[in-house]
Amino acid sequence: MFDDTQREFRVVVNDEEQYSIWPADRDLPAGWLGTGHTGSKVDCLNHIDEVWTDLRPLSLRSAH
Amino acid sequence: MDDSRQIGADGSAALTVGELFDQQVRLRPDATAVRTAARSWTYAEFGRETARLAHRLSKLGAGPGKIVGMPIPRGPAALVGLVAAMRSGAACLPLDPDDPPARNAEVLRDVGCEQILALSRDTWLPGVQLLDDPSLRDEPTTSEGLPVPAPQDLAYAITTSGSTGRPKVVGVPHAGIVNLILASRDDLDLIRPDDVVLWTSPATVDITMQDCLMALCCGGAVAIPEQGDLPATRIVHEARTLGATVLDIPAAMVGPYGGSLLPRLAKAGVRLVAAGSSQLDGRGLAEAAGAMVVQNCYGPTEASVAVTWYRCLPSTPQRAPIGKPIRNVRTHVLDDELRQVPVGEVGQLYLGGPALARGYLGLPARTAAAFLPDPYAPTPGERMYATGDRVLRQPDGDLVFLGRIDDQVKINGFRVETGEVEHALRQCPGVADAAMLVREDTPGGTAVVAFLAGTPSADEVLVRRLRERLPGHMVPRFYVWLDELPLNRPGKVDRAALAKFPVADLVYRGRDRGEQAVARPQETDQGVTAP
Repeated sequence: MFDDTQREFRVVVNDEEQYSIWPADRDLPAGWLGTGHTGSKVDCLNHIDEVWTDLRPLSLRSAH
Repeated sequence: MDDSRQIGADGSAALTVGELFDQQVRLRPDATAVRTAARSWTYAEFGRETARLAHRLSKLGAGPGKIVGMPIPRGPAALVGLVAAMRSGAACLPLDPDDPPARNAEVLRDVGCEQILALSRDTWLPGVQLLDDPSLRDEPTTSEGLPVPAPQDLAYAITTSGSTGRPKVVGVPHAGIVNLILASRDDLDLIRPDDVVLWTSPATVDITMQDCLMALCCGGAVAIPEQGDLPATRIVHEARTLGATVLDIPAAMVGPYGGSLLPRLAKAGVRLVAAGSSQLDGRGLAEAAGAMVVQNCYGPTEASVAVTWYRCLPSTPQRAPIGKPIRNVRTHVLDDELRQVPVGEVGQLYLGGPALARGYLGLPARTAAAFLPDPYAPTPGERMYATGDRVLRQPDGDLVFLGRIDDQVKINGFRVETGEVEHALRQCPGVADAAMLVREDTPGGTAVVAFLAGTPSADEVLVRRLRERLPGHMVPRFYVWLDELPLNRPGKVDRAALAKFPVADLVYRGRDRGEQAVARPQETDQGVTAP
C-alpha cells in the first residue's frame, strides 16, 4: 500500500503534533486528523519536511 | 530514604535512567557498579564521578532537550560519559572516534549537538569537555541541583546507516529504555542485583544501552572487557576473568557453534546469554540446557533495543522464535493493506507503545514514512513503527522472524526469498552457517551466490538437496566455502563484505586454493552454464 507510487495519500497529524501519512481513500485511525494536504507519497513527505520543524511531542515542547 | 521514589514490582515507566541509577547509589553505595581487569568502582564512587561530570556539562549548557556527543570507544570513560550525560538531563550520542571525521561532524551538526565529551582535543570537534579534566574535582558529587528530564525527553541517540548512505540518528526517550529495563528486571529475570553484565557491544550500538543501563539501574555491575573486537574465544576469557554472569552476544556467534560456546560460557560462570541482531540457530542450544538460560531477543533501534524475547528450550527449533512482546509493547502482523493477517500467515511486523523512538532526528519525512498512525492502538493518536521485517505469529503467540522485506530480491522477475534460501542451505550436509546474496557481477550475469561455513561438501550434493526444497530459480548457482562468515560491527553477517568478495574467486580455479573458496557455476534454472 505504502509502496504504491500511483496512490493518493494525505498528510495527517495527532494531538502531539506528530506527522505521518495515510492513504486518502482509507478512514483515518482514531486520534489522527488530516491537515488538508494530499498528493503522492513523495509529495506528502516533502510537505512534512517543511511543516514538521520540531520532532518533540507537543506535551514535551510545552514542558521545556 | 524517600520510599516514594522506589518503584514497585508493577514499575511505573514515569521514571528516568538518572533517577533509577540514583536510587541504586543510595541503596547500595558499597556494591560494585563497574569493573575492569585493572580496577573497580563502587556505586558511591561511580555516582560521584558521574555527578561531577554531569554538573560540568550542565554548566556548559547541557540539559533536557540537548544532546551530548561522545566519540569514545567502549571503556570506563565512555560509561562515565554516558551516565553523566543522562544525569545532566541531556541525551548521549555515542560516536566511533575511528569513523571519518567528516561523517561524525555531519552527524553532530545534523542533530544540533553543542557539547562533546572526549578523551583528547581533536581538531574536528567544536567545544570539547575532556573527561580527565582535573578541575572536575571541584564539581558537586550528588544529583542535587541537576534537572530531571521528562520521560519523553531523549535518553540517547544512535546512528544507523541509511540506505542513501547518509547516516540516520534515532532518538530514544527515557520512557523507551526504562520500559525495557523494568521488563528486564521484573518480567524476564535478565538482571539481579548480584549479576555482573559483560559489556560486549561497541559503544555506538544500542545494545550498549541495554547492557550497561540495565545493570546500573538495577544494582548489578558492568564488567568492561579490554578494547577491540570480541571473538568467541575472547568473550569466554573475559567472562571468566571478570566474573560475568550475564552477557549479550550476536546470534550469529551462538549460531551453529553454540554447542561448544555456550557450555564454555556456563563453565565460566555465565547464567544467562541474550542473543540478538540476527536469526538464532536453535541447533546446539540443547547442550546449554540446564547449565544456563538462553534468551533470543529481537528489536530495532527504533523501538528501544529489544521488544520481543523468547526463552530457549532444548527443543527449540533451528529457526528459533523471537518470542512475545515485553510489557506495554504492541506487535501487529499486517499485510500490504495494513490488515491484520491470521495466525500462521506471513506479514510485516509493526511495533507500538512507549518503546518507540521519537524518530530520526532532523529528518521529519523519514520519520513520518516509518512511524505511521496505528489503527489498532487502544488509545487514539498512537503511532506504530514499520520494521520492514517479515514475521509470522505461531498459535502459541510466539513470533517467528522470516527475513527483511528488502531481502525479497528478484531474478528475471522471479522473487528470491533470502531467508528461505539460507534456511535451506543450513539444512544441507556439512553446512554450519550460510548467507545468500544476489550478485550482478558474476560470470554469466546476475546469480544467487551462497556463502557457506562448515565442512565443504560437493556442489552437486548441495544442488541435489536444495532442488528438493526450493524452486529452481532460488537454488544458488555459486557456492563459496569460507572458514567462517564475516560479521559486521553490530554482529550481523557482513553482507557488504560478501558483496565485494572478488568475482574472480567465484570461478573454478582448480586445486591451487585447496578446498576453500572454490566455487564453480552449477546448472540451475537461472539459465547459465559452466564456463
